Amino acid sequence: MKLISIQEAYSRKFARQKRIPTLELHASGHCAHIGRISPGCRGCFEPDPFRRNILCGARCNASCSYCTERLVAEPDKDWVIRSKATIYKDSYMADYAPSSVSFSGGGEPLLYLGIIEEYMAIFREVEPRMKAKPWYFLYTNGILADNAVLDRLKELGFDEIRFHLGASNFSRQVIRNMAAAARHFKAVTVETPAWPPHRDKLFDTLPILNDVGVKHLNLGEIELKTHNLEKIAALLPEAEIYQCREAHLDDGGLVYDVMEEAAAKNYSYSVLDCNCFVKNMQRGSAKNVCREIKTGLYASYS
Amino acid sequence: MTFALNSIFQPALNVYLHTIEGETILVSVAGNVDHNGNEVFKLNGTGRTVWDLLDGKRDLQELMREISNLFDAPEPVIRNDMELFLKELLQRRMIAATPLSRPERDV
Repeated sequence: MKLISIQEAYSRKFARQKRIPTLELHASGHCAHIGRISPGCRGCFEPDPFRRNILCGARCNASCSYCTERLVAEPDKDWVIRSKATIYKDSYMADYAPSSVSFSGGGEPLLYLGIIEEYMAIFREVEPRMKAKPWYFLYTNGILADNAVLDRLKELGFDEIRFHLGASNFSRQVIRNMAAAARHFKAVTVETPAWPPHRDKLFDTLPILNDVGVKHLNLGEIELKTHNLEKIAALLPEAEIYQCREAHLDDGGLVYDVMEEAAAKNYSYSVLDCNCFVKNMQRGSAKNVCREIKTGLYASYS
Repeated sequence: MTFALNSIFQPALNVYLHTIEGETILVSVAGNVDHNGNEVFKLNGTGRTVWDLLDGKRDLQELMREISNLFDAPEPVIRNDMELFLKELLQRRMIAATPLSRPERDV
């Protein structure tokens, strides 16, 4: 693989951005999208000490070559106690108002439905102390998201389900599950990597996402970690990578190609470039600075 | 951290008890972090029993009497464990100790 400079990587992105007239830039330009993005994305751009992302467990029923987040071990009992106690502790603070609560990986969250139920029970318990109800959302590869599971998630109070379609190689069954979810929840999002080998399947799926009522398409730039670097290098020996806050695989313009297609076809969903700039904002300290200057710093949400 | 022998004890205002993963946990909103970085304090069965007795009316002698009735252990052991437990809770600001009158001595 070839390491390119940030000047080169950024220049390419900025050049592509200029070609999309409906592109919106928020959060000082870190948040680049068309359409209105999910309320679940708010926590990436705005400081929120009460927002929580729950790591459910390490097991997974997919095997993605690019997997960046795989946990090496299940969270132990003390970790779980601290995690749950933190929710209780936060709930006694003045102005407790988490903007969102999410459940994500390390592994596949729907393999841990019991754990999700436990955490949601705690959030239900502390909700009377909240100034505002958070946006509850869950990430899944969708393989287990059948009607019974979706019904349960709806009962638990989830607002949004995010499907990682690439994990199942855009399986028809997962797309059917996603279509069912679109009828159950306030929002269904596809959040899948901007992985060049998925390019054709992703483009084939774009009209289907529109037909089934997907509201948001978040395309995440692949992060390179020590455990996936060699796999990706073997699969894509000519790929270009660059270092920002994280190390990233340059997607060859895939995200902006999708945006152009979605804009040209007038698809109803938003498309977010969940790239290195998002990670800078999400994981860095910048979003805690100048927070009083609202205009132009933060994204707007549907 | 010391307390007067005739102190009475009660939970601090912003400390809450929750059962998490089958364990009894004290959650302090003040967020006193112990030397291991833990923000929570786990009570065993005896600790929970003592906690329930911290009603702002009992002093150490009365607490010891209650515990002696419930647990079969020598009086010096109960006293030592009780003092250590109360001192740790005080250090974490999870309880308040209020002397009833002029202290006879510090513990």
